[in-house]
Amino acid sequence: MEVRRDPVTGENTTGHEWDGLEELDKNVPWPFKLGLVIAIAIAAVMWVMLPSWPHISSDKWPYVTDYTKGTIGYSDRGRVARNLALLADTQAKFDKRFTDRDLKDLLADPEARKSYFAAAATLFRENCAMCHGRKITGRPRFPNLADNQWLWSGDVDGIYETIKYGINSEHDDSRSGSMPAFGKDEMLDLDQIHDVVEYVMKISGQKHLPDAAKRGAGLFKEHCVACHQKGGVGNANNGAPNLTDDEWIYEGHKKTVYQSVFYGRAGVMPHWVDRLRDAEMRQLALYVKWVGADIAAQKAVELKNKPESKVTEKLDGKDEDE
Amino acid sequence: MRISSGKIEGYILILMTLPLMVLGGALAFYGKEGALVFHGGLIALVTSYAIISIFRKMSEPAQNIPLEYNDGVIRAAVIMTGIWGFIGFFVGSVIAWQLAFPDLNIDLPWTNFARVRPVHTTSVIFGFGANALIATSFYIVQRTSRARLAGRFTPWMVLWGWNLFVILGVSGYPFGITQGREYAEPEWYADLIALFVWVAYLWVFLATLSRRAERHIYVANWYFLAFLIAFAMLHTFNNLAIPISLEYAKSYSLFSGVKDAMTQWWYGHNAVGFFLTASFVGMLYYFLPKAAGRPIYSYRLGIIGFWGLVFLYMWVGSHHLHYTALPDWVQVLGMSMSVILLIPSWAVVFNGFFTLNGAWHKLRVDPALRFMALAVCFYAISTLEGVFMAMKPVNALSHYTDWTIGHVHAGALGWVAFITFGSMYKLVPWVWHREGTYSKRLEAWHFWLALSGVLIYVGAMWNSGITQSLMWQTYNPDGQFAFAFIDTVDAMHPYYIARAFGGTLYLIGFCLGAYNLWLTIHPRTPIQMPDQQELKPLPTVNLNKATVKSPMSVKATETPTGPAE
Ligand code: HEM
Ligand code: HEM
Repeated sequence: MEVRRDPVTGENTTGHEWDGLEELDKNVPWPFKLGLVIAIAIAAVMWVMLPSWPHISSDKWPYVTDYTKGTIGYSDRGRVARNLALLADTQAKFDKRFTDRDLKDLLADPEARKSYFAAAATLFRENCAMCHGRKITGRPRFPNLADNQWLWSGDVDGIYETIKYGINSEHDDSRSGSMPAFGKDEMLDLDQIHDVVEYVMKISGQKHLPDAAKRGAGLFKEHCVACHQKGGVGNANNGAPNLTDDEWIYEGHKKTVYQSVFYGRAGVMPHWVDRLRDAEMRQLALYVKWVGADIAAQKAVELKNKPESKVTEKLDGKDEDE
Repeated sequence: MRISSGKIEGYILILMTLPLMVLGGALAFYGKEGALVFHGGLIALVTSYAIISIFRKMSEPAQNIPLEYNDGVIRAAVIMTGIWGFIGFFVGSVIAWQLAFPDLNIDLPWTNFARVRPVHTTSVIFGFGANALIATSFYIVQRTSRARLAGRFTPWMVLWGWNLFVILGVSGYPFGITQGREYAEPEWYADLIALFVWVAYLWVFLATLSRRAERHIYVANWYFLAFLIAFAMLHTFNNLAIPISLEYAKSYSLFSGVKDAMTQWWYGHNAVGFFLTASFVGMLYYFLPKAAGRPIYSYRLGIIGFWGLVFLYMWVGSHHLHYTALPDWVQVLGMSMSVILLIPSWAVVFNGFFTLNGAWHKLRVDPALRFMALAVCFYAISTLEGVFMAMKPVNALSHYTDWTIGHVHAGALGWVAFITFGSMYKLVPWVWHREGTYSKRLEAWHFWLALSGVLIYVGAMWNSGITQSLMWQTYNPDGQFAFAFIDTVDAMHPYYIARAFGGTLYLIGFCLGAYNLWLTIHPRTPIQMPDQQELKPLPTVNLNKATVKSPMSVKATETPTGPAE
């Protein structure tokens, strides 16, 4: 193909032709050249200022073991270290506000709540919500923290301790308590488990078979009161839950109660002392109390607004026990 | 005109395929994982079928075939492009909905997002993308060389071998067979097949070029060659691994620690650079000027663009590993080369756009050309964006966020897939000898659906990425986090729904396009059109002496037409 002039652009073609395709012999446009120069210049500035080119070092000849360090002495590690130090500084100042004061004192201080509630809530959502739920009301297998029913301790220092060392965690100071596997370890036979479950149904005010429950009462006294106390009201010293209320960790159906008795339970709450700063654990303890109080207040209002609300009487199993 | 039976070519192929067959048999025999046994069986089956058909074809008497381009393999590749495109976009939409509504994971190990995601990436890149590249590169190299495709069997081996590789990949992931290297997930035995295929592909391409009837090699072919050579090297090094046994699919990389990470991303970025960029630029350099009916804007720009791109891409893989254990100097080097890379990348943009000078009016009436023009836009955007993301301070914001996903899909949906759609609307009528596509209106619908899909997708991901990143990085004055991670998940939710919606639009558009092309292939009233240009091979020049007897050594009776005489 001949070189020809393209009528649209006024440029010549190169004279090459493939399957009808041609190319113009257009010079590289100046903005493009300028761009190339600028880009290389920017890169060159980086090479001068920052660590960039590897080179052979004289002491390990002929291996490439060194690199140009750049004029401003930049390093990622240095930068991270500086920033972390800065952060640690800020946090240390902040932390004093929690570590220097008594938790009970802080709990009573409405200013503390106002200032720190939002950040504490973030901490909770970041670390605790996956088990206890964003509204702190728990979910199956993980206890509700807002019901004012406590396995261990409900005062702010006790909660702080639970957070710090965990329950059945790997920490030496962990709270520990577990429910034995009465069925699996053959302490009770199946009929006996059946009866004792019926008894638990009864004391928690659920549908039950009266005869079986009666038989279960004796078994309960023999095997369970050591931890769950007379009447099944629970014991905060060993973490045995109250069985007479309508708050359950494992849902409280016949089926799950049966599983608890047969296989036992030993739920784990991790210890946070290795992962959170002291001030953070303190904030979390406060947060649990703050939100718990809110929810309790809300419930109270609801109860008051509901005319003629009848609190269902619960059988506490007294008659059988005495 | 007679064509030889391709004996030498056939025997070489059989010799190369036999070990793969044995390997497949061994895996099927010793394998202790269901999926591995299936893979071994499939390999053995396909390779033995290939060997048998080569034998049968070789024993047929030499036939007289008309001197013409080999378009059969191109047609098959076009069909495979459609099938993989559907799978890839469909699975992409599924995982997009899964991210928006996690219940869609339906709690089965095989349908879990993590296992389905590589099915998407492999189907789109190596299924849809590679088949489109096989189709267009085979078409372009024949037309611009005025020579029939080299090899009687090899082109078919390339096509089916590659598709076998992709099937081995995607059928293994749901069962946990993966190397865990992004964009190179298939295990070692599949990698061996891919290597075999790739070398064959490279041979076909070089042999065809070597007998071209044009003095010069067209720029599109430079890009395809770069793609073929670079990927052969990348694939080999990235997949150097030691299999633990024939019983399980697992293998261990030869590299460890940060060197392994660097190898992976040296591969990963060049997979983007050569698989999703250079090769598709080749496609652009043929189909855009063809569709526009205009000469390429600047030959010189083409040269600078090509060498710049090829040289610079190799340096920049480390920008995927900013702020990691990788030494500072490697990061900075990758960052600085990324800046320069913008310029040759934009050479393609200049050439693409200004080639349209004098043809802008055609955009109004030709949706296929519109696809190509928009592809250039998205290419421009994603390369510019990529360069910004390669700067460490920007990367601190963008890395690990949906911004990267937005960038990927601006490139993938907007550039890779758009240029493919535009080219397919031209290619299909040409290789099936039709006057045009079945319906321009459907083409236009496809265009608008696809464009809305990309814009929604990318827009959502930019917003989501920047939002989540800023939320992660926000401290209150006391040095405490302002947001918990779960808050960012909440914030993403509307964007994820938008993205899934955009992706679904894109999928619907694709289905319309596929339907349109299907009706083009099977028209109510078949129309036969002559090929665009008759073949004038150059019978004397032959690089590959070993295989000159192959089908292509056409004993042409015409007077030899020397180059450019
Ligand atoms: C209907 C169209 C598509 C939809 C709905 C879609 C959706 C998705 C989704 C949801 C992800 C996972 C993102 C994440 O992990 O956060 C993804 C990843 C990816 N997709 Fe697509 N996609 C589509 C088309 C494509 C196409 C055409 C290509 C390539 C040619 C492509 C290439 C990729 C790649 C490379 C990734 C991995 C990105 C990364 O790891 O950074 N996608 N896609
Ligand atoms: C000059 C051009 C380009 C540059 C400098 C560039 C740069 C980058 C950077 C910095 C990242 C993010 C790395 C990270 O933070 O993890 C990235 C990711 C990515 N880019 Fe580009 N990009 C360019 C063009 C393209 C094009 C045209 C495509 C086409 C499809 C593309 C596809 C991808 C993909 C798939 C990823 C995701 C990799 C992953 O899985 O993490 N890029 N690119």
